[in-house]
Amino acid sequence: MKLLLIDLDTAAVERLNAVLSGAGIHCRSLSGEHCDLYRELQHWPADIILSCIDSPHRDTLEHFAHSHANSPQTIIELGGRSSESIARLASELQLSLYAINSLRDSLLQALLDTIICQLRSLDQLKTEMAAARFTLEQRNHTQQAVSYIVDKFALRPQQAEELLRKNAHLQRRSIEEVAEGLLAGGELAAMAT
Amino acid sequence: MPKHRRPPASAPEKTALRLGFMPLSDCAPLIIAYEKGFFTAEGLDVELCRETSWAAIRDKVGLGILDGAQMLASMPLTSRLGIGGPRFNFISAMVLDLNGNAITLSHELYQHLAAVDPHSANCPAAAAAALRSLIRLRKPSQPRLRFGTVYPCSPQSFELRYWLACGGIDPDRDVEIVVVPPPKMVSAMSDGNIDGFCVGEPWNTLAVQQRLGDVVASKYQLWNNSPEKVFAVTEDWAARHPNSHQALLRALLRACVWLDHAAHRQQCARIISQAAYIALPEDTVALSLRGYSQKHHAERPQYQPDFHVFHRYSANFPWLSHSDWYIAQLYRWQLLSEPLNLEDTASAIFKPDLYRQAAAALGIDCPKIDRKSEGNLHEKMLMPNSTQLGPNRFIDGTIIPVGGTLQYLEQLKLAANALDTLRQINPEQRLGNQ
Repeated sequence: MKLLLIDLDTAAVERLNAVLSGAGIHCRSLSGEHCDLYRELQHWPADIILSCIDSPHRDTLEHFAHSHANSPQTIIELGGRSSESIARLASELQLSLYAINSLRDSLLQALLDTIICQLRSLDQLKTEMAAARFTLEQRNHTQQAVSYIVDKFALRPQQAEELLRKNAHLQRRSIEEVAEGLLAGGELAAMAT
Repeated sequence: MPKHRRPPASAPEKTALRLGFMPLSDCAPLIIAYEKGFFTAEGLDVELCRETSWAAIRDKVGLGILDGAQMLASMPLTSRLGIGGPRFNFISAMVLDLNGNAITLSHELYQHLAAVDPHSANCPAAAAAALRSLIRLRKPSQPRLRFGTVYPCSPQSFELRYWLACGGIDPDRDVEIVVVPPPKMVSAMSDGNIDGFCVGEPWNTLAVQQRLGDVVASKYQLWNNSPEKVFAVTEDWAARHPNSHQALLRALLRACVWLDHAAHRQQCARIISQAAYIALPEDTVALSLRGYSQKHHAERPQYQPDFHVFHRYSANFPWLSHSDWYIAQLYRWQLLSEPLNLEDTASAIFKPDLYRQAAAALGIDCPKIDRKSEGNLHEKMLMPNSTQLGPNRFIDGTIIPVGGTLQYLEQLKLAANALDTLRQINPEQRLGNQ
């Protein structure tokens, strides 16, 4: 089975490629405003197409579907009823699904479940990573500050950490803020260990 | 707008609304309603969402991601019928504008047409006939000429087909019609991927200004004052938010009234040309909005005051006869084969009474009838400064009286058995021998 991915970001393409190839689905990715979609769709006749809902190619894709009845058609409902998965695909992941008519709804549902699960977890991971970036940067600053104190004052790492903690207490600031100040060129207020 | 005492409006059920638009000159009613505070005055907190395709607008409104949007005038109908895409039950109570499109040919192709018939420069019918002559001279080994439109079953698609057919060209056999997003139309011509296109402004002006193309027909010349964009929501949304819907219609109607003042058009161009909206130079956007059509690079722009009509001629009224014409075109080009009751279909989608309610709240007069004859009003037949109805001629002189859609289809040689079935389920339509 051939799945064409249109204007999905690289991380999503890699994730879906890795997961779906194991199920026998061959993925191909297209992106960029200048590709000739008519030629691509004739050259590589996909069974299913997953397109970014905001892709500038959407209307061309609609026309190809309209004029080639055997090509993937826009899927808005499953089993003749509105589908929560299709709505989630569009609203949460900004994706639109096209599939050839002969595919069973159960297959599309399973595929949707997999796509939503994979890309939602990828989205969740990206969100969590963005939130963690600040914490990780602060931790990095603290470690650099400890190394700086160890080198400058010939202290053991535990002593350097204690020195930072005392300074934070005296200055009524967090250890991370004191570490950042030290790295920015400031001096420690309490030298006593 | 007449002065009046406006009764207090019922509170909107939903005030935070997301509305979609496409970066075209005729997105102006939404942008102006936002920028001039007409939405806010109705108690609405509107977020405008610039979209990249008509399919995205269709899906987002249909799935509830957007509350409503600017749509192609044919889209509520074709979506209801599931033609050219999935079925959605959209309704429209308001037309946003008339005219505004044009057919542009690549400069190279235009030069060949002008060599065949110099009248091609300013006569759309002559240009279509010259194109037919050129197509007949092409060798079978040569690829068909390729024309771009913006969406399957769009007004642009029907206008391109109408123009080709009036020159004796079969749009399905003699040329190839492809879909290209409006902002990519000019670059597709520049890259040699298409030989011509039918699109809204400012993309025709841009092609001419860049010496890439020549305009051979305007939408106005093909069918005077025909609908171009509508405001649409889903039937379900309208039922759940009747007051919000009315508030939106009133705000958009005020924007359309504002836009129809010639003195406001340059200001409109300044606003909508901004990066958040169309993102093109103000002068490029202003030309057609100020009523000028630049057909050829070497010539001065021609004054066409009705190039964009936003309110006059009862422009915002959702005429059911416009729906009839689109249904006729769907039959004509074999995009629709199942027999439909024209009255039921049109009245399920287009809502004149909802429009009348919004117009009455603003003290704006509007038509008492839902259908009108098409093709019967010439510019010279109208009183100067007529605002109620404008010219409505077709390029080929066709006249479709009220109830005459089947007669029109008969003239187009629709298959006899299809016409018989249509007559049976449309008894109110005039018979061919009447």
